[in-house]
Amino acid sequence: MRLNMSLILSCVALLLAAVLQEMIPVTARLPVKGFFLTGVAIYYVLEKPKLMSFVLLLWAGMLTDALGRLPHGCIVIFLLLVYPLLLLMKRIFTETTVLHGIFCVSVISVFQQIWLCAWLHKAGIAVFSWDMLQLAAAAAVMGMVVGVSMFLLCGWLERFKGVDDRRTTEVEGLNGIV
Amino acid sequence: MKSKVWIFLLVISLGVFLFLRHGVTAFASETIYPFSNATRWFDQTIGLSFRAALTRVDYAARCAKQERELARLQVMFTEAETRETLIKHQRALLEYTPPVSCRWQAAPVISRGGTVAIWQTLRLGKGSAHGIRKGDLVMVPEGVVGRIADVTLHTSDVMLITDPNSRVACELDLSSEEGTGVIRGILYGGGVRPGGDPKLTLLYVIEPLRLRYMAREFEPAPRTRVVTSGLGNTFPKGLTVGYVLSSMMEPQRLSREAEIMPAVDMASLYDVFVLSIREDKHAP
Repeated sequence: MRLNMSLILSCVALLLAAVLQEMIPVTARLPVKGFFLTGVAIYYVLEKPKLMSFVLLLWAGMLTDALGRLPHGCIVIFLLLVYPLLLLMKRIFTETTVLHGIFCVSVISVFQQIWLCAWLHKAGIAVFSWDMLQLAAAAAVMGMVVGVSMFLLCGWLERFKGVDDRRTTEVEGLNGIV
Repeated sequence: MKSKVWIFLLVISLGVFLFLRHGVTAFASETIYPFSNATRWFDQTIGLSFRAALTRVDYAARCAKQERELARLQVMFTEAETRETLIKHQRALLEYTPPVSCRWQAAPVISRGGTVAIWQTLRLGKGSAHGIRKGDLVMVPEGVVGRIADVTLHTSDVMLITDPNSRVACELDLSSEEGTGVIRGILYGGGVRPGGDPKLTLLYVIEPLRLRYMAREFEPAPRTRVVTSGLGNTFPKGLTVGYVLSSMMEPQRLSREAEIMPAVDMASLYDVFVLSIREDKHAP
């Protein structure tokens, strides 16, 4: 029986991201969490087939909700809303690089922070306020850091996959495309 | 073949998401906990040594100070043991059984703020396997930290008193002042305030706690100690919660409220104590 290395490596990436997201505390200077799980989900959406990326997106959202004691579906719904936009990005970008990661994770981190504050309005942060703007700016900076680290990590993990086991269609085979 | 695996996983995931959501939190916490523990150990041993070397801490002086403190604590511990034996003997003579038995245990902090840091929470590296239950009190020598809000087998989440959803029955410690009576109120968590001009920087940039519904006639002096009142049986009486910063009349002018500075710096917690109160009268 051959192991599905993509599944194992993606689980490792999600686990590492979850540990990082849990362990790195917020500080007064940077009062937001780095959304490492979202970073991993974005990498797989941009890099992997739709079905696999959808499952991993779901897992990333569920992990964030569960570990953050958030209301059920808070981040899952956000990521599902973002998913079509990421698929659009996938069509625009011809390849996935760290720069794309910085851009995508940074932008989506800002929206995720706003989404969180809007959903958890009891936390005391008004969505349309100067405080929220500062928080969004901090989320953008943190998103850049997360984008670099997670895209490098996931790219590095890809090395352990070994031989690419993609199925090639007959047309691709006849044309010598592997 | 490969897509079948992902379709199977998708169906399972959607099933868990829709129907088995309560188990996800426990599963996720239990999966992450060994890695969080390992990271904490790494930070506490290698990371701490590295940081100490960088900051050029005078190790010899610190070590001597700690040794003196240890010797003092050992003497105090021996005295406490003697007193405990005496109390046990007297209880046996009086045939008195304490109505509530407590058990203290130390627990490491493995995460601060969870994965989103919106809630004011800590995650501890001990859970129901160590006898911790939902609602148990979490403390450090300086004062109250919060309550256990959620428990898995090896982890537990603490809702801090700074959480906006936290409510604690408190009173002012006015033992030195005569004629004032007991001034009680309810302590509300302050919530978060990103940016601006923070008065307190704890786990997050937070608003001070608010002690509300106090008697309107009495104006507490700044730095008055606030302790738990013991009402509601959630917290035992007399535990330090914080200190008064200032007080003012509430908008309706029916009662007074005060801004309270927590006694504990939540951002610097590495180990805490969990107080488990057992209602069993015959417990040792």
